[in-house]
Amino acid sequence: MDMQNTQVGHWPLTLTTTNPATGVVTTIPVPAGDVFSAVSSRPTSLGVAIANDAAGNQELVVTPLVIESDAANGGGGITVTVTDSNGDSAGELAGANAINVLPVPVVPAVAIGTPTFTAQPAPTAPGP
Amino acid sequence: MADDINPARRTELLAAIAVLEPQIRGLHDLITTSISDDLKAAIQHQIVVRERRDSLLHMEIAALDEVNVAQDALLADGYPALNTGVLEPSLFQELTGEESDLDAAVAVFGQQSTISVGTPTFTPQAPPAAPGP
Repeated sequence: MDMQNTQVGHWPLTLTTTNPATGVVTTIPVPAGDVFSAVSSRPTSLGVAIANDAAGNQELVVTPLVIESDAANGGGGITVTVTDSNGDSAGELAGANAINVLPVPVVPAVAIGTPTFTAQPAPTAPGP
Repeated sequence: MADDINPARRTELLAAIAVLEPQIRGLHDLITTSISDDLKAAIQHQIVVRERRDSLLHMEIAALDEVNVAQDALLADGYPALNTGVLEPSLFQELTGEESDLDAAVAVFGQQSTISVGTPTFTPQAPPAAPGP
């Protein structure tokens, strides 16, 4: 997925279990004391951290650290792996969710520079 | 003795036998008369076919008889009722104590979960200065 370098991403983190008999996936509360950690595959370009959101839940915070990291400059496809202290199966931003950092497009602005002047006859219309 | 486990099927099988066995007896009588060898061969073939069918019908009836015997034994054992086992107090206390220990042992474990990374929201930041990648 693409992230502009002027964005910081906040991903909510949850725990799920899958019933092996039915395949039904259930979200379960994160147990007290279970601490998440995150690792970036290109930490100098994409910073990752775990922080608490406004509700006090742990979230993954992803911060672009470079102007651009994508296929165009030999970077991009940055994966993020999230693990926890309870040893649950890791969560990942990978595949289609691997991150490319894109520069913010520069929109050209019309600039009015310093003038020069030439002479003309005085107009006859009174105005205003 | 309990009721026949499948009286309708037994009636059907007996009816088939009632048709077959006179045919078999008659075919045996017929084959001894002064007829050609070819006709005897045709009659013998029908005897073989019908005696095989008769044998299979009797096998199924015998199996029904065995099922009835098994059903009688099951009913004599009190089926479908099955009483709860009763223990004297000290043994019952020992049993429930064991159950408690098992619960404690099960509680040692938790099911492994999977960390799920949800849908992001974004907040602004100043553009980084480093060029990348």
